[in-house]
Amino acid sequence: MDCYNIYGANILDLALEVEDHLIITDLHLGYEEALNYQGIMIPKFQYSKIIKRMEEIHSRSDCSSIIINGDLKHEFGKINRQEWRETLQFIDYLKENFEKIILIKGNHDPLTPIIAKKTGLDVYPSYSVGNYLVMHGDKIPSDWDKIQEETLIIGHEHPSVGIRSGERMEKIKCFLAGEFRSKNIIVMPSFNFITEGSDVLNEKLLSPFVNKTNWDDMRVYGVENFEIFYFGKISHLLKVQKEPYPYDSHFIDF
Amino acid sequence: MITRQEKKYSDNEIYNILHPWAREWFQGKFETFSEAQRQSIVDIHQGRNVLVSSPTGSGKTLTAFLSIISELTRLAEQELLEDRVYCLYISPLKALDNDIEKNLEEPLSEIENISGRKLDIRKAVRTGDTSQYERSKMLRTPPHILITTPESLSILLCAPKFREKLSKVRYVIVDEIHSLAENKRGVHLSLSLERLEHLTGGFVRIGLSATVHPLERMAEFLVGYYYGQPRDCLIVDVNYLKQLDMEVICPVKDIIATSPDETNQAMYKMLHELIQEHKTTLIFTNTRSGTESVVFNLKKRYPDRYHDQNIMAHHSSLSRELRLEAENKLKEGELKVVVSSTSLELGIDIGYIDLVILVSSPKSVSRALQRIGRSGHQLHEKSKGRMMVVDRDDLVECALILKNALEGKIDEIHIPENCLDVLSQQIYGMAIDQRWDLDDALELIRRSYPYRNLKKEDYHSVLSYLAGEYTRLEERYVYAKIWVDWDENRMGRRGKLARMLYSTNIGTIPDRSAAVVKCGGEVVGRIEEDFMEKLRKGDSFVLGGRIYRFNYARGMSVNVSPASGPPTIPSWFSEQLPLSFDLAMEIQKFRGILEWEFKKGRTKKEIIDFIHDYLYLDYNAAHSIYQYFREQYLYAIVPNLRTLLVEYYTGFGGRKFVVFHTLFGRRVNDALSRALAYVIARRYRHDVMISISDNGFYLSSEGKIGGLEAFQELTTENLEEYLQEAIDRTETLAGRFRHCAGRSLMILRRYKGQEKSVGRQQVRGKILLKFVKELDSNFSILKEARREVMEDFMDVKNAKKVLKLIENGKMEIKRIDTRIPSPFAFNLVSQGYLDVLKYEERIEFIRRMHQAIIKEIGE
Repeated sequence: MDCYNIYGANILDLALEVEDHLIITDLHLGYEEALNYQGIMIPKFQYSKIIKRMEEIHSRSDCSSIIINGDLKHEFGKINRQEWRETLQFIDYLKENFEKIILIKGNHDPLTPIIAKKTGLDVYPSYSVGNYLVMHGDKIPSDWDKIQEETLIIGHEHPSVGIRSGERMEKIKCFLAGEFRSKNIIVMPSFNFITEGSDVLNEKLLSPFVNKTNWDDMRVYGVENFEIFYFGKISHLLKVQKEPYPYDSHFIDF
Repeated sequence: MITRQEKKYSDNEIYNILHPWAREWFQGKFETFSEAQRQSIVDIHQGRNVLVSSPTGSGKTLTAFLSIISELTRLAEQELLEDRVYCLYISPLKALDNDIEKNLEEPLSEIENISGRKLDIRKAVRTGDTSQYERSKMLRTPPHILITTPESLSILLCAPKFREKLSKVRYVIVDEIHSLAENKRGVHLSLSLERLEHLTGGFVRIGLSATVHPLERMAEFLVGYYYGQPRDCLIVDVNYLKQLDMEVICPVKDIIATSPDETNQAMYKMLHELIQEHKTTLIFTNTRSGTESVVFNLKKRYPDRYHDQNIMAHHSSLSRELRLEAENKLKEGELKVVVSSTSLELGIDIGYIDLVILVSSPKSVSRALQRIGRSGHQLHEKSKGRMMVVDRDDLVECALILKNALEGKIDEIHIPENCLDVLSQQIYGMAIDQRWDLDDALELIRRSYPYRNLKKEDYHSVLSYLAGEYTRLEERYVYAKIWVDWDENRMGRRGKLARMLYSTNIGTIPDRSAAVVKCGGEVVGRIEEDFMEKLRKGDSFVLGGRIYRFNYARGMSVNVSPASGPPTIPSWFSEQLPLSFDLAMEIQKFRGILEWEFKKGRTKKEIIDFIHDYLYLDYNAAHSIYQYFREQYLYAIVPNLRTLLVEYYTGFGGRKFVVFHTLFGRRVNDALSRALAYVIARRYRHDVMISISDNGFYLSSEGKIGGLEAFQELTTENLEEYLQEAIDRTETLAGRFRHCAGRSLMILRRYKGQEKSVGRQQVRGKILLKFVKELDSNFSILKEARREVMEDFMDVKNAKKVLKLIENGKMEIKRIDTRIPSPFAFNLVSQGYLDVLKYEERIEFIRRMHQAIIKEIGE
């Protein structure tokens, strides 16, 4: 099965289909060049992977609009060369394939408006599609009480889940679905191939939308190359995955 | 040619070559020459390369320096002393550098007094700690004797102005050369020496080493090769084994029958008594956490005797200030006891120690000698060492260490070869110095011992990497460090920042950064990346002698809270010292002899007497060994040099275990077990769990294992190929790859003027590895990471030797089936560290686990 429905939205690999809109998030274009600036001399390899995956998703979807839910590019303060080139190239690609492109502001994006201007696009703090409100998720909007939509869709968190058996552990990217202040919430995985994301079973949460009260009841949908794996709730996974170590604590370790 | 020194010069012969002032000074200070001095000074004077192996503290500073000081005195008297460096002294430690500078103070100033004029022979230390002011001062008035570290030397070689001051160096002394040779720092140094040789046209090389085997190899490492032949070197071997007072001690009468708690109690009691009987005691443990634990327990158990003022820990994770404080207090004689892991093994001056205690086996004969040699520093005084055993395998190991030490059998040294990451650094350095013809540069590199057999294709792959050829042409300007003109056969440096990048990033010691562990907002220590990955919510582990519960991780930061009770995860098996192969073989031999004694039906008394005589042990210890072996003999078979025992048993839930009693040390077992796991995984198409220790390993799986058949498939021919497949499927490679990428300068610590904070720099080794594999599976850094894993971390060479024994029929494989593990297997199972060989495709694994999890949670 390559399709799964949460709160009326369809999971399609790392993207989410909501009505006529395809949503992706946290691409972090230009990551390699940012790493280069830090002295990590890895060559650029992400962009072609992102395009290839995008094409595959597009070929399986009828959506005519695309929403990029924040953190299109990586660097905070400045726009590096690679970002310029890749971002513009990517937007060109989207323009060729979608009728409408919606950019949402992320926390890595203080300068995205400049890019947007150059490409003639607008940048929104959030975007409403029917009964869904799409926003990056790094902060709770100040006009919270005015939100009418029933379901929130956020990114920012880069969720993944570590599946363990004995000594083996494989991390896979995942969607999370649960509740937040009596609304539905969907947390989307990042659309990039450099980071695996943070293990929802072990790592600390970033977004103010996920917290101690709603965390355990979040449902986990793992995604691996268009296959979707429903794993139940986080609390279930934590229980199931707990195996004691075969370790003799009497052994004195000098 | 490498030759052994056979001459011993008389006092007069030595005095004859010394300058009268130097002679007068020496005669006023000493009655006569030490053995090492007697055999080396004249030859150094005559310009021969000399490797001296002698105990620490036997006047070795003067052994190396006396004829050099005398020469400098002569030049000074004749007013021929120029403003440049004549002698380079290189040691692995800054602390040792500072000690040597102090030791030179006395002869230099006193000879000046005798001369009655201003000789002005200068010496100076130059390390990473030297201030900018001192550096520029050194350039204006260079020291005649420059005291430095391998890293600082390679930086100096690239400093255009200072390089000039080095261009006529006549002597190079490498101290503690054995500790450098066994790792990449030494490999790095050996290339620096060849670069210096290229600059100067040649110098006298003097090496100072602890007792290692074979000294001939160490000598070749010191002097290097010239057109395929080792340069000449004279070996001076001053054997000091006879001066050892060494014993194995056991805190309880019967180590097998006594519970771990009682043993622990008795151990501290015995430690306390020994400490009180001596003036100053140095205790060695094998791990940093062990060090902490001994200090903690002595203070807790004897609060009126041990407190912060008279007991201290000394290990590499402690801050420099704390270590210095411990060293100074030792020198002042203020400490009653100091506890260390490995950091006090080398010859820094720690004052007078009259007893060394090793808590648990030091895992090799040379390490035991090195540690015990830290006591009794006056000439002609015996070194006193006690090896305290804490369990039965420990007892057997220590007993054989004692036997071999007393009989002069020392483990063979391993020198890493053809390290492509170190080579990348050095080629970069060479390119900064000048433009090179590619063949000339290769010839220079091959003069260094570790690279004497370097393959041309490997050399070319490093050049290609440095030239940035792994990236697209239009982006290459970011990545290329050198240019290579393949048609013209030339290369040279690229980029204006080259010299700065080089001097701020060289070195071979990986950042021990890893993940930061925070408790209540405070940093309490660091753990390795792969260790962090094993932690799950609720797990507890030991760090710095305390127990913490793991809460969560974010990036490379781990949040914990204090906990009590036994830890759920063993800490750092990777930190433990591996048992040396040679010692392991000696233990196997002993096992064989003892099994034979049982078979012959000797009485208990006869066998205990035999153990007592053969191993130089007291009767309590001999009795314990008898008990341990007898249990194994009655229960199963005593595995030994002729019999490799393979034990099958089924654990809880039907999980299959196959225990291989391969007592070959962890490095060999690492190689054997992984190659074997690969054979099994391929055959039955499932993942295999591996657990490895010094005494053997076990494989386990939910499916079929068939360990014996798999072992038969493994041969000396296919071992390396299978092992390479295997390590590509285990977790070992990623961490190593990261370090190799750092040494190859693919990951720069300092770049464009800013030092990278550890947290920001941590892209996971795994991710780097993944993308490099996609790039090219023969990428030079990847190749080096594999080599390092197979040859340095593991020991594929000796693993082959083991397989050869089996192929020749000299070692027979026997199978037994047990319901509970045999006594030998028990220790092995409880102490191993774990890994998994992944065979199942990632997606298959995920699908299978998904099914299992869904079934479990019932949704």
